[in-house]
Amino acid sequence: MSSSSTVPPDVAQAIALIQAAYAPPSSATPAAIQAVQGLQVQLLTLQRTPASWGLILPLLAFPGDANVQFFGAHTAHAKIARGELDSLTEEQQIGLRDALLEAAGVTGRPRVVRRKLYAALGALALRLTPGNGASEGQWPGWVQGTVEVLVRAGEPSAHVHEFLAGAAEDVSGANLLPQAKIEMIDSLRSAAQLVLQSIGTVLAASSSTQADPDPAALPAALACLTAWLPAGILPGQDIARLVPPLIALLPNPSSPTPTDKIKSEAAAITLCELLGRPPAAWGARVLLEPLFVWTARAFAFISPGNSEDESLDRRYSPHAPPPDAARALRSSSKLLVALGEAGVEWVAGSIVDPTRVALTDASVAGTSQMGMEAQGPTRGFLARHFLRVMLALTAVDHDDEDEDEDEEGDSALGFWYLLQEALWEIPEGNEYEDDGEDGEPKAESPAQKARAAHSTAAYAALVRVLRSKVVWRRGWGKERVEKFPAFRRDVGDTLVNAYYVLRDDLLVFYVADVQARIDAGRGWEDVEATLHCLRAVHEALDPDSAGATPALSILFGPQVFGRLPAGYARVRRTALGLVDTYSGYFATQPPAALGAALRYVLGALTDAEPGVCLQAALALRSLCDANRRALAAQIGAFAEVHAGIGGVPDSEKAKVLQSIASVIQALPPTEGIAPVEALVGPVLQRLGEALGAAGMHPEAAQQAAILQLDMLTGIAKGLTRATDVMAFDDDDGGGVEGAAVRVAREDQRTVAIREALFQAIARVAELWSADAEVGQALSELFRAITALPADLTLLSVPAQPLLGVVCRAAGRRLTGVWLALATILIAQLNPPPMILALQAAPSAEVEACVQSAMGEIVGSVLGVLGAPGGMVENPDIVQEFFACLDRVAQDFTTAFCALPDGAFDALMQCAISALALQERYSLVAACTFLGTFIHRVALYAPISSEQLKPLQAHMIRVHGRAIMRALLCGFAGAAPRSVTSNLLELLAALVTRWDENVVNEAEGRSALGGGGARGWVPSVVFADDFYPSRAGREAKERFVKTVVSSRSVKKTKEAANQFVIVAWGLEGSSFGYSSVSSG
Amino acid sequence: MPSTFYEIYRGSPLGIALCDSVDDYVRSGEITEELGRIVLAEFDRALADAMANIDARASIKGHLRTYRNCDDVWYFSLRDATFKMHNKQTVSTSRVKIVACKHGDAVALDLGVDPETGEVIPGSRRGKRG
Repeated sequence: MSSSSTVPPDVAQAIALIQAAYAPPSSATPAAIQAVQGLQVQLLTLQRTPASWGLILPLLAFPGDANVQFFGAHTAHAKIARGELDSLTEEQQIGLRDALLEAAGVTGRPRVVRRKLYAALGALALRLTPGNGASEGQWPGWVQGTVEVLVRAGEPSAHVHEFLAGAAEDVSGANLLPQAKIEMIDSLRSAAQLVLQSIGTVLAASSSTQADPDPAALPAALACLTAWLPAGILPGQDIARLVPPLIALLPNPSSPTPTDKIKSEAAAITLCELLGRPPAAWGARVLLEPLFVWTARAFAFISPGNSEDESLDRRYSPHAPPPDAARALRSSSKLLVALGEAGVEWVAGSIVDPTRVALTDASVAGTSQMGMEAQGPTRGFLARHFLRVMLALTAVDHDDEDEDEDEEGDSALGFWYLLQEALWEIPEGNEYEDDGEDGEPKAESPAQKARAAHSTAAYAALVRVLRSKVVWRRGWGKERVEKFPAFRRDVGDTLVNAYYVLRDDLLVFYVADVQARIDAGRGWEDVEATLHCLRAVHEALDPDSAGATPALSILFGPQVFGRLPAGYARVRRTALGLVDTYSGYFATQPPAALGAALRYVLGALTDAEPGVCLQAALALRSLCDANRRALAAQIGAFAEVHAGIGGVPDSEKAKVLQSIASVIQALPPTEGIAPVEALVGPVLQRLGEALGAAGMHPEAAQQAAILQLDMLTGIAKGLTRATDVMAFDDDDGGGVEGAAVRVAREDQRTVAIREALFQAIARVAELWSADAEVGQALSELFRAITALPADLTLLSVPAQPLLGVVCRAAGRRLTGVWLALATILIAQLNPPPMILALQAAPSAEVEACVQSAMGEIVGSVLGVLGAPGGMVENPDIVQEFFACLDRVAQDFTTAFCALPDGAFDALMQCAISALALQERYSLVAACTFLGTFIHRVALYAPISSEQLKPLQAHMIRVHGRAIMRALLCGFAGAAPRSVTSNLLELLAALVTRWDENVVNEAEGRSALGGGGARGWVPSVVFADDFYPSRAGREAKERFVKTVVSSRSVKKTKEAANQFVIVAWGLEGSSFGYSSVSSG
Repeated sequence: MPSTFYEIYRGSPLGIALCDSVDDYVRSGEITEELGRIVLAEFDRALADAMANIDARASIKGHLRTYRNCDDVWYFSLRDATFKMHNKQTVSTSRVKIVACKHGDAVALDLGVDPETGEVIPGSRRGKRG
């Protein structure tokens, strides 16, 4: 080995650079950091030079400095991986291979250097091993060859296995062509026996009782096995031979010698991997049954003695395991969870299976201590024992507050979900005693009954365990508190699975539990936990049968809800959430059933705790919404609630008003007028006051106005019927109820309310037209007060006048919000019919309204977007503007004909310019609008010879080529590649709608020829000023030829897509296809 | 190199923006196609990890029109769907397509290559919940 004094000057210089760059920083000053960064840049630059090939070996041979050696290995790896190997001749490549192998054979290198060197060898093998067509690769048998060098050099088996693990990982992660991939996998396959033999030797040595000379050998060997598993090239029957010694390494309480923790952990990790991806031919006897036997042996304390003789309930009854047992369970939790996941179907199918399992060598030891017969336990025993183990694991899971996060095992909760599904999926085949008559339910076999009894007992124990797991504990640390909601939710999911097994028994158990705890005056935490469990299972309840469950009437009656612990916010929030969740249940009960729950909710509305108040408002809203008719009889009580609304926090007032309004909605409409007046009047009055105070206190007035707008929105939402509008079948006016609402709307009082509401909206829009928050509040209100005819309420305001308000606001200050509102209102003006046959054209009045609105909107928008940089700086306006135009094009196509002189051409130029925007949403909106507009105009032109036909001809003559040019430039790269699909749709619209006849007619040519819009493509693509791209003349000709000659839209789109790839310079590259995203 | 994670998030607004940016860099020669691919593969991995750690929940009600399951990827097509978020917010839509797949690394674990054809063979390992 050379010393630093004899190395050539260039190598010495490189060494000095490396040592300076890797030296610990003398200070953290910016100058020092900059100096280190400068050194690193120099090293990287050096590494990229061809001369750096010559540095590799001298650096690897440099004694005593791991950094220098590492940089040598790193340089080799980086240059090979970067593809710089091609700069070497074939002989030099072979020379490099041999030199690296020789360097790998040097013992005593630091781990980091060694691993880098192995990575370099792997990278080199990926380039040298695959052949080149007919010729063979330059490094056949690279795995065996390298192993031979390492063994000959005396490297320990851990190092050899490190190399082997890296080799498998490098091959599986390599980006290779299919043929090269096959050759690399073949190279691994040829070494499979060597790998298995090597792992087996280490495993056998580790299983022996003699002291292990190298503690790192087993973890490295098993890591190697884990790395080789995904490739699927190790024969299944050979891996199977490794299973018994692996299980023998697991903790064994009955063994006289203590278990080696490192070995048992490594074995457990490997077994988890095998459970996750067992070879295809493996049956349960290879891995599952031996592991279940190990479980029964290792956790024999879970079911000691003659527990099989006890009753089912007692047998599964949860009990807190002693601390040592809990620790043992937790330490094996990953393996137990993996075994549960992999073997759940076996467990479900074997619960009552009397077949005995065959004991392997590894599983024989210790069976006598647990009462197993010498010939092996039954499958049923193992399955039932495993259920008890999982119950015990669930009981201790997440218990330890100080649990190290790294050691936290997978949750056992998932097992119960899988088990429930597996129990349902057990085939019913041969278990019936008699076939029964056709169509009649068959009798359950004794085996089925026994299985059902065991699974019911297990899940009954589970719900008791889980209830105790979701009890809130005072004094928890911050981290535990933060994790608790997510854990509770997961427990709730598991309870749903338990409900599918236990059904009403689960409800009965929990309701009796909470009742007993209240009777006994137990801590509020326990009561709250049970209420949470009841809430969690709601989603599984059948709404039709839930009403008949007596347990729920006890729960929501005076026995429970009338006696809940007072003064604890957490209990109140959970109880209110429970009412919210079960609000639909009350609709199936007599109105009196609502009493206790409603009183509880109303009592919490004015609670000082914000969370309680919010939950109460939400519960009230759900309760009133789902029980309108039942509560309408108590409308007087709601008048009291309204009278006391001053005590409700501002943030919840809208919800309370919505609740009251939903009850009012259930009254006959004429009877609802006075209550609505009482609700809306004060809100409008306060809104008027806010408007009046805007000059003096602008900010406070604005916040007050938003609050009142939210309340109006809440009232309007409450007044909207809960019934599905699709249920009305007589007409689209809402049937008898709709007729009654229309009569009530004629009442002078409701007319006055709506007039006052409209005036207030107009003043708000005038005053705060530039304010985004107000715009958002108005947007919500507009959605609530404009409706389909079938959904008309006393407060519904026609869309036409509101559209005028929006247009004037947009004229004062243009924002995306106003344009979005205009889109909504224009859609409301041409509502879809309930029955297609009833489709009627919009009235002339509505047409005129939209035409007028279009004029105002286009004028306002073009004023903003026409300014220099206007489109780029206002992408939200561009997007909403074209979305609005798209709506108009669909429903009121002729409105474009009424635009003032010049406005239409300016609009089209704006849309064409938008096709080159880089902000994709603006571009997509413009593209969509142009496509819709071209389609709609072409569709209606034949029947609108006075308006749309001339408009179409004008578009073709004046803007046709410009649209095509913008489109093709977009393909060539002016537009982002993600909008290609949108541009393709526009191209399809152009070539299908503007065919030869249409274009010739528009351009006044009588003769055939020209090709329509397709005919414009050559002149655009071959123009000198066409967008510069990577597409050469040949590619352009290919594209033009397909577009011009093809009559198929599909082929045209394919040609355009290919043109995009070529124009972006991505032809022949997988990147071009892999990175393309749908628009 | 086929990405070892699902590429579905490339169609999200974030993914589309990233693809467009990478496209620009590749076209201008600032990065190689290989690096572009690595960036996108890293995006697939990062999104899969991030999505696996999201605790948000929503319940969905709607009319199920069609559904299918292929290679552990589920497709549900719903009409008139209402999403009820954990914070009580509700969102309604007339049509929605839901694509559900198990945690992304399941693809990486299951990837195998057919020795005859060199094609990727999807695995059949049971996925995690969710």
